[in-house]
Amino acid sequence: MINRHIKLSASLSLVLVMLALRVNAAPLNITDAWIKNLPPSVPMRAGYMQIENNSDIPYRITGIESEVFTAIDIHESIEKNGMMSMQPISPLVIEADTAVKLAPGGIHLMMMGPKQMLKPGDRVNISLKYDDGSTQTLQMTVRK
Amino acid sequence: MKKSTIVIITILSLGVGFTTAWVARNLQPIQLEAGLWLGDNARALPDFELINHDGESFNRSSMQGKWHLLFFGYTHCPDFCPASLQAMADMLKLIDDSDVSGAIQVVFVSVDPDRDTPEILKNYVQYFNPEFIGVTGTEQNLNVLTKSIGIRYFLDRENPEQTSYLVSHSSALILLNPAVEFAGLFRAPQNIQAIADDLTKIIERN
Repeated sequence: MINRHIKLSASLSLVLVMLALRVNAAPLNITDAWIKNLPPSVPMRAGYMQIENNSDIPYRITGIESEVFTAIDIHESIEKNGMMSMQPISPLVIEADTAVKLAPGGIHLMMMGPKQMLKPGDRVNISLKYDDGSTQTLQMTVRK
Repeated sequence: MKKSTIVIITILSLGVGFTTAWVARNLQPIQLEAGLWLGDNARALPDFELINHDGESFNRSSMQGKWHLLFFGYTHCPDFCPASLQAMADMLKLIDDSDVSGAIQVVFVSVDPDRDTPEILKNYVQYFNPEFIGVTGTEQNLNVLTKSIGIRYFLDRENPEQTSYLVSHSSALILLNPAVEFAGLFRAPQNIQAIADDLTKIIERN
């Protein structure tokens, strides 16, 4: 009986530790996160980054928040028959063991309504929300 | 063989060589790496009336005597428009011959006149390069220009009071010659080194 309790507790602890790791460890390796600087009169910015998923499960980014912007969406610039338009992507799926590059002219963060003056060199914290409820914070740098 | 004969043959050979080289350089059709050259099919722009970023008239005569690269977009465009203007600013720096780069004027045509006032346009274009010009106009006046060169755009809003909306627009860069004729275009994605090389080729030959 005692043995069974110990085994159950051990199993539960293991599950909890794994859950904690899933929440706290940065699930995706994000590098080169930057925001294109624009004149203050423009109420929009675009953000870019390299996202690598080195795990064996897909991750879905369902939302992005920052105290510096009113709202942040994920969009893709798409060229079709010579016309450039933008389409929202929700969620952004990063498949297992793949990398996605957010770059000018393609997938980007559409960062609306900057709440403060931004200039090259400034750093902005953003928080990515995943579909499992976990979050990941990262810092983006404003570049000319 | 007489010495004078050798001299004459040498001069004639050099003449043929130079002529062949000149013909090859100047009479062959221009082949572009990144764009489309309309050559003899270049067509004159109709009269149109826009305003520049200082609120002054901008029309055909404003563009006489210089090569112009036109890009159509809007300042609320977060990704492709800034990327394109930055690409053009960087592209001009890749042109070694300052006579060539100095002969090119970049013009950003905003197809979103309700939000893009001359003041906003000025701030915007000059951020990328102080020499860039921003222009816009009424929908009717913009359409005279856009229809003449096959540029399309679409404001995705339900009514004119809506202030937050996206705009779809042509991605091509339009090249006008100093006679203000539609002379060529560069399609996206923009390979700036190839565009710089193409513009150098075109302007040095014309």
